[in-house]
Amino acid sequence: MSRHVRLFRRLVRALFPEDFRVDYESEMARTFTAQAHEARGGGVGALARLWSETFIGLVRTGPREHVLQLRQDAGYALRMMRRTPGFTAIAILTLATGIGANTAVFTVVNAVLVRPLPYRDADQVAMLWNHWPGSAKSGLSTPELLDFRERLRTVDVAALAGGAANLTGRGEPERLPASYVTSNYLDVLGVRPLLGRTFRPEEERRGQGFSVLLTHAAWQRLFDGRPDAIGQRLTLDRAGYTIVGVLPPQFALPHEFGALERSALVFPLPLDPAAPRDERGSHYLRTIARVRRGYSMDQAQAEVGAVARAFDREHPGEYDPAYGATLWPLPGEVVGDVRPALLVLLGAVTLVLLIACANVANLLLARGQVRAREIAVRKAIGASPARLVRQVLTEGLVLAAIAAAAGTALAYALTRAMARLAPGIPRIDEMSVDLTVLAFTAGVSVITAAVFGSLPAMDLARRDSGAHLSSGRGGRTTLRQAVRGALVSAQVALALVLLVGAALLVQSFTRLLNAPSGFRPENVLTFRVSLPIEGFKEREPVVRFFEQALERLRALPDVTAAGATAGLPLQTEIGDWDFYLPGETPGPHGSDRAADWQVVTPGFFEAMGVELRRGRFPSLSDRADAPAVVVINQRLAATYFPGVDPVGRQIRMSGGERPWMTIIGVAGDIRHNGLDTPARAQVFMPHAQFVPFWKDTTVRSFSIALRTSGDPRAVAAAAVARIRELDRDLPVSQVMTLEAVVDRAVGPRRLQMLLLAIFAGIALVLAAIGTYGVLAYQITERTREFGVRMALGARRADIIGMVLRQGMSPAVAGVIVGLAGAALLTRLLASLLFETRPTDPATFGATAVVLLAAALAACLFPARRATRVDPATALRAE
Amino acid sequence: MGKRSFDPQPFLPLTPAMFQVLVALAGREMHGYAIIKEVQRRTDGKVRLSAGTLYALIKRFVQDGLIVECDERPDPALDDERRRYYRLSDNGRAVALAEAERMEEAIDQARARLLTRKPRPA
Repeated sequence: MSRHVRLFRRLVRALFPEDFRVDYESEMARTFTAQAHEARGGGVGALARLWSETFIGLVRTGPREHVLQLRQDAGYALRMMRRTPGFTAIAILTLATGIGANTAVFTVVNAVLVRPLPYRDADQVAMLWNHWPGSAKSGLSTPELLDFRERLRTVDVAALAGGAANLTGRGEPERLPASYVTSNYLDVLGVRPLLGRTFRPEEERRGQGFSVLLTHAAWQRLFDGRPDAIGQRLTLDRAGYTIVGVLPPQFALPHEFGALERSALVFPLPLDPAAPRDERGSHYLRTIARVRRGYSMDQAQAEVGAVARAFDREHPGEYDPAYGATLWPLPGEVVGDVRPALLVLLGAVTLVLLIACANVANLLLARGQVRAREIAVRKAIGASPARLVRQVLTEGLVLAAIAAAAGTALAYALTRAMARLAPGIPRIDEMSVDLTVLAFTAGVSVITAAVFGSLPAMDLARRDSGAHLSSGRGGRTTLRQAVRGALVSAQVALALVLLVGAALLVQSFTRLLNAPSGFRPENVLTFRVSLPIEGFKEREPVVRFFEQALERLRALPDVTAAGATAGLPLQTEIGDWDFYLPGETPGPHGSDRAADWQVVTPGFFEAMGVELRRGRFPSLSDRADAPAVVVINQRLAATYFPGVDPVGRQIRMSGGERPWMTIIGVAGDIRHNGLDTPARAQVFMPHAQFVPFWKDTTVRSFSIALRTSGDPRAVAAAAVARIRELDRDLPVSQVMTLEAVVDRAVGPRRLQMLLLAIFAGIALVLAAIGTYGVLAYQITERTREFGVRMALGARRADIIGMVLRQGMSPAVAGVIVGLAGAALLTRLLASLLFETRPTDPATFGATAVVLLAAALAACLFPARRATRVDPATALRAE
Repeated sequence: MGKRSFDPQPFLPLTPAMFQVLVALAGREMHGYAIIKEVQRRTDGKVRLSAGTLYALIKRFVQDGLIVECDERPDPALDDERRRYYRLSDNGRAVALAEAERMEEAIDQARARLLTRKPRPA
């Protein structure tokens, strides 16, 4: 054979499917030999022409033959599937569940973790947080911001403060969430406005900035997306502001991706670089930093640390010795603590898919035995093992493709449900089935087909065709049974891991819901009322307004108590404030004592249902001119007044000339910053007596809580009307029950728990079906044996015992392996668990019992069928 | 199910290569190399078949019953090596004929619209 022909044959082998080659390779080679022989006479040119024509011909026809064969195999697979509708339906349903669950969870993962943030080079941006013992991430004060901004060389720094503004003059008054930003904020974040411009440096100066930016949603709502909104004026907090720009549609501020409300307005933050920089305790600024070109995040981190250390030297007594400042890369900050939960869910759905694969592999193995004769006939008429394997794998692909289509529909429904169940997860609202998700689903489906199809394919390739043709019963039965038993064990083990995980999360969630929140959320309506600075510059008119408002609200039928607080538990976060006891002199680093602080009105504790442990709660008599009083929580009492009655003692908050406050009562501990976060020491100061940090900054924004005798939602309309009676321009926002506030706070955890529970339930059902399927098939195979045994006098109980032993042994093995696997894997859950040990023995034990019970139930039906075998019929059948 | 019920229409139109292979086999039984040579000769080298293209066509024609494989026998012209011979079936003949008629009709239509070169003066 010349080297031309050798090359030709090599090409044919590489490009054409085996079936084609079996039929035509030799003929093609002979034909090419003749052509080459002739071309050699025509010289190099003729040979070159022959080769180019031949090569093009092979490249064009070979792959087409592959496609034709695939189409033929797929058609055959579809006909086979139609002939066994029961098998097909179960296999598709099983796979669709697995693929659908994976697609759904990946859709969330894609939106939350994979898709880039809507900021330019978001990985170059970080949050800049202060930290000291007891506070891992605290905002910056104005002087700190200005110092950082002037001194840092490696980064550009910008900051934001939260707020809200009352919009009037356009129909119903509205309270619009707002943010106040430094003029460079959007540049540092990496966002360009959709229309108009961002702020100019001079707009940052106090009294200069009467400009406002609208978010896309606000622009759509207020101006129907009209471009002429730019340049128009809005009355905000009773002052006129000019709209200078509109932000892009996908924009959100870094901390607002999962927020209950997003800012509708963005104002310039008033800053005064010339003001004294010694009042450094008010950490209200969320600061971001973008690494400048030519520097790295590590270099920036080092510089931020060095600048922060200088603060302590420059302002003795202001800083804790362990004070520091750190950059936290933005992507992680936006996603928050959802990441581990999502990864756990992704792991869980992978397990579900593996179980589904094991199940379908088992079904295919069983069917492979049923199809043994058909396969043997095909082999006998010349189908090669490779050809048959290809056919079986194609059947798997067809199954997976149909399942993928059904799974995608399932995923769509599942993702909608997830978005409703946990609105608090950042970016979950951006979820959509995009190309990445489709590629993921396609990839998962192909891998799935390969996983569940490979065992039957291998089984088929090894099968001895002669045996089947002669008897219709297969050899290698023991090995096949062992493989199928192992598949059942694997399913049981995987299902056990999932069930243990779900059980732990359910326990954790139940404990969280039963955690002592410190208040009674049932029958409470809450809403927020914020007064504008105009007309409410001083504390007195604000106090008077809320006293009048609360008095009117208390007069409503069904309202049993009413009060207000600067921030509701679980809806806002509160920070701490140093305080002193009498006789103490400030040390070099201030006071060692700190308490979370809160401003409340009389009636707050009663409306929230907070327990009074000692003394009394604030009353209307605790006015500005009366002796200053304070309520502390139990934690503060236990920490700083151990063994003594704190009522009657005095404390004083640090900074400036603040009054000594007499402790009048001890309240139960409220878990303000999260149900999973134990209460810290806390002080509650009556609004009427609260001295703001500096002039003009009195608290004007309050959440009102109304305790009602019936459904709290029923009084909402009347309550809003009472507020409007006092000031018809005053908007009322965030009207919701206290139960809804709690609900929202636990939303992400509930979603985790629910999803894992659903996945574990699916796993349990699949594992039970798998056990049942294998055993039922084995019983059919052993019908004759049972008949013989019964003819020889075996009792029903003996037969049932035999079957149960056969069915339960792989399940028991699976449970043992699963327990070991769960012990290893549940560690990954530790960070998601609340007051629940990841290796809780009771949970492990109970789960094992549940799985064994399910396996037993799956075995009972086939076992009973085995005892119904009629010995005579069974013997005759052979 | 007889031959009379055979409808060639679903096979049309044929590619030039397909048509030429059927026409080549209309005369006599041939093996692959001979088909290639015959097609080349009949078309003055305008249709040149490669081995890959030819056998893909042969496979399809055999499957569709347009050509039939005859027994394998030696070709005295080619070192007596044993070759597989093919011949046109009745169905294949019907398809080739239908294609020829289809082309004829197309030419007639073109002529009716004067869409043809003027006959050159002799």
